[in-house]
Amino acid sequence: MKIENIRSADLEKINKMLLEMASGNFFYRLDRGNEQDSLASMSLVLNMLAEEIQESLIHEGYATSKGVVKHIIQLCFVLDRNGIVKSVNQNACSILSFLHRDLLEKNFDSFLDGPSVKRWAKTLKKLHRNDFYDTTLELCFMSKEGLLLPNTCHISTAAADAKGEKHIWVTVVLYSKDLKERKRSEKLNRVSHKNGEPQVSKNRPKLSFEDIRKIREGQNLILNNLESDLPSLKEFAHQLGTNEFKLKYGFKQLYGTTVYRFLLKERLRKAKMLIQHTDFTIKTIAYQTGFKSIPHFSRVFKKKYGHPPSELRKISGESSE
Amino acid sequence: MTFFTENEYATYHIQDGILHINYKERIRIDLTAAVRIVEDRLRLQEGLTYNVICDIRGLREVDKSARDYLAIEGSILVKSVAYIIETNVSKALSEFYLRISKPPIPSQTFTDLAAASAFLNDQQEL
Repeated sequence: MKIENIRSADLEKINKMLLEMASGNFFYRLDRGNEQDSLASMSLVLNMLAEEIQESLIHEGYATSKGVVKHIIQLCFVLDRNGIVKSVNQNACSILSFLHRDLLEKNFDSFLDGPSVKRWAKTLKKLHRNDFYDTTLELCFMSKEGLLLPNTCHISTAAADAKGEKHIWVTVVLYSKDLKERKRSEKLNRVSHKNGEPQVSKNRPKLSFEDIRKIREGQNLILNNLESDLPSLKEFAHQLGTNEFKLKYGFKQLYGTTVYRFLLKERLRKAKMLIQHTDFTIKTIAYQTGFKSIPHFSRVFKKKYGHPPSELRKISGESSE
Repeated sequence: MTFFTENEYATYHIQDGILHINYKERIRIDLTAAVRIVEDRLRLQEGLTYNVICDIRGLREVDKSARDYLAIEGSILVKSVAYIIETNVSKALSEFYLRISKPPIPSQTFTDLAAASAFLNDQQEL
């Protein structure tokens, strides 16, 4: 009976999490405890799903190219030198589902999960040693309903004020699209229609799910064949069952970069790993990652990572010894 | 040449030409951990490519940035991977990873070691 009770509490949390996601809040996570059953698996998948959606929403800044990613303060706490909450913003109260008065005068660590409490205690000690101190710390908040909010927190402290009080600020920044900005650009689009110059919409075909699938397959093909030559974009598009225009446009929409830039970036990324962790010659690595000429390889590599390949090898050799 | 190495997340050993990676109990992987896990593997491999049997039954969680790193950087010098899973958490984790993060190497999940070895043998012949 007891076990059933516990699990129904978990189901309740899953339900809350789904409701939050349905209302557009993807920053909550489920605490999975130590269970290993199917409910725990489902919580895990839900957490990963929320991560993926959260990421793709930020990424959409690229995709629409009209959107602007804004950094908005989500949670803001002012603490005294002992970590007692002295002030907190309204948004933090609603996200953590606490009443404002329930947060005030409480120890900040009572809103954190177990491992975060320890990390916080350590940081608090460090804060006391310095007059001015800024750091970032991974902390996981816990809402009143038991949902987790893992966040990167910015923690700052400054020298004591005139009254001799020292304060600590804890802030969490959320990336979000600026709605005002988006609305304004929609308006501009409409105006340009009226003037008989619908150039914006004309150049923006709608991608079907089929198109998106094909482009994703293309990205996969590139990743799987970094060492071989990419056919011309026209051929590549035909191979995927689409056309050059849609491939170019769609790739940019989905990944925020061009096909060739993506290919180069991934080739260099692989080359860097091979340089750092194998003793293949630079020449072999260049050929294995699809570069035809060593000087070209060295040049683009240096541009990306700040060192030519041979120098990076030396550096990583020294550091691993 | 060493055939064994270990860090706080996993043990690695090479046996009969196959690299075995066994994750320890209740491991949570973030990006820092993922980088370390891949580095230690590559150091052991000394530039050679291997088939890998990866026992992920002890894994508890792998976050997004770690999944992305493991799918790309983590696939370097790996010919194919057989994951050993149990029926719940590691099954869900591997299904999600293979489908969403899409590592660019042949990968399959198994609940027993013999089937995993057979899969890698088949890959060897391809």
